[in-house]
Amino acid sequence: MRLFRAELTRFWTRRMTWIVLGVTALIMVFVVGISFTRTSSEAPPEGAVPWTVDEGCLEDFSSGEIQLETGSSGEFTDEDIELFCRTWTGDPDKRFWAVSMLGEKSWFQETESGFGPSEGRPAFDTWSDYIEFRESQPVETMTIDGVEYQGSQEPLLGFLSGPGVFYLILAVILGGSFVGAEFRAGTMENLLLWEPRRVRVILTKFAVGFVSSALMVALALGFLTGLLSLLASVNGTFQAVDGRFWRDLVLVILRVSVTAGLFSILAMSVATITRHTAAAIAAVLGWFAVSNILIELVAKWFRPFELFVNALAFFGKGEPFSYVPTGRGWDFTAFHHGYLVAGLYVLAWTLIPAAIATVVFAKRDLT
Amino acid sequence: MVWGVGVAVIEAVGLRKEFRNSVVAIDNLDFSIPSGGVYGFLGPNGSGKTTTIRCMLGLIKPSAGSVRLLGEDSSKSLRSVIHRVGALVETPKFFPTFGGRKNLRMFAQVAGLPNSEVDRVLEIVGLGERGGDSFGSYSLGMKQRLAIAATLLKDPEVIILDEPANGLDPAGIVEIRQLIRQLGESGKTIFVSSHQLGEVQQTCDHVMIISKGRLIQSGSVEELVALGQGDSQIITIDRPHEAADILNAQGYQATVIDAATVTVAVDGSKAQAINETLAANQLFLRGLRAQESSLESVFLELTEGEGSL
Repeated sequence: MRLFRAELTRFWTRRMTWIVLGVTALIMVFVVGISFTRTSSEAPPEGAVPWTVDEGCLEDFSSGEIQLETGSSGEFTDEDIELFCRTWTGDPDKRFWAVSMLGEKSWFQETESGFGPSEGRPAFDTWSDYIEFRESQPVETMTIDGVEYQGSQEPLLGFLSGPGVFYLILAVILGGSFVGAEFRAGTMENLLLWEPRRVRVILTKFAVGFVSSALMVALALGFLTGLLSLLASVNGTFQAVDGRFWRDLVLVILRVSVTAGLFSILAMSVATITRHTAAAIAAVLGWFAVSNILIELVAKWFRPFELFVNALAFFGKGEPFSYVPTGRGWDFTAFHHGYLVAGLYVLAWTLIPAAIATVVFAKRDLT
Repeated sequence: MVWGVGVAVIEAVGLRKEFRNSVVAIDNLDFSIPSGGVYGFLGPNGSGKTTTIRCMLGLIKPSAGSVRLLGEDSSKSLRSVIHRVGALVETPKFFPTFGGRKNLRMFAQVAGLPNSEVDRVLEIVGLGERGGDSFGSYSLGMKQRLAIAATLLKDPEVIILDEPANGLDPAGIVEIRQLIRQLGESGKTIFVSSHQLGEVQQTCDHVMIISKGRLIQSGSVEELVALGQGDSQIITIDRPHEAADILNAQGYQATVIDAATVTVAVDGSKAQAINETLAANQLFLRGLRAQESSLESVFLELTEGEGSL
């Protein structure tokens, strides 16, 4: 426990920790600052239902000022036009900040024709309504060569979970440098003169890196939530925000933080094996850069098992899909596993290198 | 080789370390160091001194043999004795952006020591006022002092110092010498590896010399210095080359050192005969003295000038 406290003290008094935290806060202030300029205090009046139909839009349709091109879906019904006027008018940021934080991109119902959706969706008065709608949607299935495959849901692309890779990069930098700096400064050797049980030393470092990186990302996301709340209170509304929204928000922060902690362990493991911060960061981020290309070009089967795919699915509550060839020149994307199993894959991606790093650290000469 | 009487605090038995590139750093090294006193550990660069120290401290696993520190095998059960051992290995290693005091407090925290101990050892090494400055801003000498402070933090029974005077100015070297002597006299066992043979001669009670990973000599400083005494005479003369030729023709082993100096490899009993031989050839001495032995000369002789110090 004394070693844990000492390592914890070191983590939180490192210059790197506060530089990363400061830069992250500045980026968030910058991004939310831009959002301030893109929103306006002319928000819907108090009590207004979000996503109500823009009457002016409907009038423009009836007067023929706006016309829709007929696509493959045939004639547009009045319901389609009404939906168009709900989803494509106004600035949603002004109305419903909760949706911009956690909502999925399909809120806007983009289609290939560029206009209204092929399926109708109701307006949602509360976040719970939205979630219930999302969960009630029928699952697409397809039978290929006698096997029935279930379609896969895309993850939530919300404001907190969407840019998740950024938080993972933070964790990788923090974790990689936490251990890498020890080898650069030679202090690992010094530490072993005080606590020679190497396995205990490295496991303590992993634990401290995990807890601290997770906590730091949670702090960053909490700060971002605060900034967005400020934005919502000035240029938006809390109208549709209900208890479920806050619960889901906390769960997203928790999942992102845990994933960041695991990535921190991954980076620490690589740094332990390579004895270099830069190598650890380059290895993890390099994999991020090339993994998708490799999967698409040579190893499509590997997609559901890939680290970043599972990480994003875990904290975005999505489902890593696998490719199933249809024999018609395109692949069907089928459900492979849910977001909780995706979390277990991330855990495996972390624990295997951590185990290797522990053995290497325990056996290797410190020269 | 056992010095003195008492329980061995450091003991190497058949110690061997061969690295992956087949370099044998230590080859069948045996030694035993009893409790109390200051022990010097000498050897040319690359002779295996630091590798031996790393084996003692469990940082390197021996390829064969073992080292026992306070009775415990260093590669297996160091944990039970590590709190009784303070060590400085090669260069001082601390976090550069942390202050000296903060660096030491981290170690104190690991060992469960109060912060007052940190202040105490900083005062001992003269860093009390600079303890708040970042380690990266320290001079080499200050870094070395901080490393020595870290070794003292546990108030250890055994102190292992690898080149403790590196980077210190003359005043600092004297301070460290006095500190090591005080610690040795207080009953602690000090094991010092050093390049500064003069310092070792003044500081240590016993010396061990290794070369190419093997023990080549050990004993008290006086014993080692005595090994080199009385074996050479130094002649000061105007025509050294002629003198050397005459002496060599008479069966001596004479070597010209410079434009006025010749050494002759004989003991003092032959001084008169040398004088007479040269005078008979109209060569008259301006001076003749026995070559004084020092730990340095003994070291160079034993290691055959194998490497720089």
